[in-house]
Amino acid sequence: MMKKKLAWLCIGCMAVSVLAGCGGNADAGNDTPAQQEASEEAGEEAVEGEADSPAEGSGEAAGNGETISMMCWYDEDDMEGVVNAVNEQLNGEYVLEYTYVALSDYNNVLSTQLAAGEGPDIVADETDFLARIKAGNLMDISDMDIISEFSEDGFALCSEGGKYYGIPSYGWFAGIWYNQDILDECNVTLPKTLEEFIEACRTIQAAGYEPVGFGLADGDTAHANLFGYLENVFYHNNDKNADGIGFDEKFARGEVSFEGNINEHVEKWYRLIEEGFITSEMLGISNEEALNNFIAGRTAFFNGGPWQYTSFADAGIHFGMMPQLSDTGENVYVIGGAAASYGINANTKNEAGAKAVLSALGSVEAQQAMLESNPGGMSYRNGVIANMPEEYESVRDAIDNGNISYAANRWSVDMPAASLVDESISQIQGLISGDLTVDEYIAALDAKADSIRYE
Amino acid sequence: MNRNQKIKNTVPYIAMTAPAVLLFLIFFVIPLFFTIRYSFYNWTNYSPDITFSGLSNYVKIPEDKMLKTSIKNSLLFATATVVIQSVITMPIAVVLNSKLRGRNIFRAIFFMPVVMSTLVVGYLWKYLLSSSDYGFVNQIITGLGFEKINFFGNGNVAMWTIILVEVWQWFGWAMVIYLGNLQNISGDLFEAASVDGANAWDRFWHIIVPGLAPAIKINVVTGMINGLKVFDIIVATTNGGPAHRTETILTSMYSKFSDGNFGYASAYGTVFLVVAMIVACILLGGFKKWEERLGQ
Repeated sequence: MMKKKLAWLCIGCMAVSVLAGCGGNADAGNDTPAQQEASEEAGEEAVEGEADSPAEGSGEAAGNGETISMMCWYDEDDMEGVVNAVNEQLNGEYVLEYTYVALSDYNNVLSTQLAAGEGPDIVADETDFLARIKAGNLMDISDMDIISEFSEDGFALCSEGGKYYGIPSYGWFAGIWYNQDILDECNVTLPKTLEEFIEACRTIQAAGYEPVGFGLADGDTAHANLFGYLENVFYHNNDKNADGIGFDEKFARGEVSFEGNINEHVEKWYRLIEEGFITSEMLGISNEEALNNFIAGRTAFFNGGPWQYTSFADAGIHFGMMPQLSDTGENVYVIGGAAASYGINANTKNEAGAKAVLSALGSVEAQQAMLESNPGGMSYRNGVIANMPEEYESVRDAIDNGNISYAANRWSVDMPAASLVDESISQIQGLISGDLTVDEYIAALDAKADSIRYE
Repeated sequence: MNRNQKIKNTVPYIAMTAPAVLLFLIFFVIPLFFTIRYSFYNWTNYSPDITFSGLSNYVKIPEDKMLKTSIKNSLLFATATVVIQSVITMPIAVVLNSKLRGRNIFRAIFFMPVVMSTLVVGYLWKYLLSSSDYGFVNQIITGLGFEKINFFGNGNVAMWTIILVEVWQWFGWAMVIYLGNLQNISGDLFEAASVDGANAWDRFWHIIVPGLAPAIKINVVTGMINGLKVFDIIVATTNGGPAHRTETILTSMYSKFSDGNFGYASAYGTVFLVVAMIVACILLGGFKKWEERLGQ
C-alpha cells in the first residue's frame, strides 16, 4: 500500500514538474535583470503617461508596456544606443527587446522561426531580405510615413515591385585598414594598385611584420578582398564587361556564369596567395585572432569596415582605411551598401506595437545612435549627420562619389546570396590550401549558384 | 488477481512512463514524421507555397556534390572514434578496476570532459590548437624547435584532429560502461584461470573481452550512431572547412537548410536516418552472432 502511495506521489511530482517546465511567463520569468529593469521603468513611465494623456495622437490603444521583439546579428553593445533611443520614444507604450544571434547562425535561426509562422516582431535581414519578402514573411509598410524620410538607395534590399517592406538601419562599406606606423617604419607609401600592394607587402614581410591579416577559419575577409578587387577591375573600369554591375542580375537569373568572365581577374588576385601573403596557416586562425594581431600592431593590412573603428581607436594605434585593390588606382570602389533592413513580421501578434517600434527605429535619434556605434558609416535617413573621422581620408573620394558596391547584394534578386557567399568563403579556403585551382574555384561558384536559384 | 485489480496495478506504471513517452513523442516521433512528410514537398524559405513534389527531392540527392564527401567523412569519423576509443579505454578501464591507489580520482578526472558541453570543448580546443601566435599547443611545439602544425587549417589533418578531440571528450563515458561491466565478471573465473596457468594476456583475451561483450556492443553501436550524426564539434571547430574537407552528413544537411531549401534538407535527413538504421542493424546483427558464439 505504501509503495502504491509513493508511486502516486512520484507521478504527481513529475506531472507538476513537467507542467511547470512547459509553462512560461514571457514578461517576467525569462527576462534578464536589465530587461526587467527596462520593463519596470517603462511600466512606470506608462502609468505616468496615462495620467497625462492616454494614447496621445496615435488613435490606437496604448500598448501598456507590451514587449516588441527584435533579433539581429549586431552586437548588443552596438545596439544599446539604438534600443535606448527607441524605448525613450515609445515612452512606455511598448518596450523593444533586442536579441543578439551570431551572424553564422542568424540565417538558420530566423528562417526556422519564420517558416514556423513565428519569429520576432521586427525582422532584420540583409541580402536575404528579398527572400523574406517573396516568402510572404514581411508586412507591406508602404503606407507608413517613415518611408518618405529615407533616400531611395536605402531601399535597395527591402523593396519589391514598387512596394516597401522595410527601412534601412545604416549604410556599410568595407575597405582595407592599414597600420600607418608599420608603413612609416618600412618606408612604404600607401599602395593604390594591386602591383603596388604586392610590392608593399614584400617590403613589410621582409621587415618582419605580417603584411595582411586574414583569419580564414571563420572569416569572410578574403572573399571580401577578392570581390572588392572584382568591383574595381571587373564590374567597373572594364570595357570587356558591357553589363557592368548588371552582370550580376543576369548571373543571378542563370543567364551568364562566372566561368570565362572573371577568371583572368581572379588569377591576378591569386598572386597574393602565390607570393605567400595569404597562407594556409591563416585557415587555422579565427577572424578575431587576426583582428587582435592588427590591433596589437603585428599586421600591416586588414580587410574590414567602420564596425571595427572603435576597437582600433581604443587601442591607440595609428591607422587608416584605403579602398579595395584595383589595377589602376583610378575610380576606385569600396564594397558596401545598405546594411540590415528592418521590417515587420507578417505574423506579428502586435501590429500596432511593431509599427510604433519601426517608426522609432527610423527616427533620427535611433539612426544617429547606429552611426555612433559605427563611426564612418553612412545613413539613408534625412537629418542624420554622418561624421567621417580623418582615418577615412583615403576612401573619402570613393564614398563622396558613391563608389560603394557589392556583388552579393545584386545576387539576391534570384538566389539566397548569403549561401553563395558562404560557398565562396569555403572554396577560397581550397584555393589557399592548394586543393583547388582558380578555374575550379570559379566552377564551384557557378555550380553552387545553379543549385540555389529561386525556382 | 481479477481484471480490475490487474488494471489498478498497471496504472501507476503507465502513469510513471507516460511523461517520458509523451516527451519522446513530442520531440522525436512527431518531428521525425514531419521530416519524412516534408521530404516529399517543395518547401523553401523564398516561397509562401508548400507544394507536393513526390520524389523530386530524393532524385536530386545522388547528384549532390557534397554527398560523397559527407558520407565518407561521417563514416571515417564514426569508425575512427569508436576504434580509437575502444583501444584506449578498455585497458584503462581494466587498470582502474584493479586495486590501484587513487583510482577514484583518476575515474573522476577521465570522466570530467564528458560533463562539458561539446560546443565548449570545441571552442576550447579550437583556441588551444590554433595556428596563430595565441595557440597554446603550437607555442609548445615551436618552443621545442618544431614546425607549427596547422591542426584545423590543413585539410589532411583537420578531420583527425576533430576525431582526437571527440575521443578526448567521450572516452570517460566508454570507460564507465566498461567499468560497470567489468565489475560483473566473477572473480572465480580469474582464480580458475590462474590455477590453469593463464598469463595476463590469456586472462584479458579469454575472460575480460568475452565478459565485456555487452559493454563493447553498447559502446560500438552508440559510438557509431553518435559518430554518424556528429555535428556540434564540427561546427565549433572547423564548421566543415577548410574547403568542405570536414563536412559530414549533418553539417551538409544544415547547409541545405541555410540555402533555404527545407524540403530538400528533409530528404537529406531522411536518407541519413536510413543510412544510420542500416549501420545499426548490421552492427547489432554482427554482435548477436558474436554473443551467440560466446554462448551469452
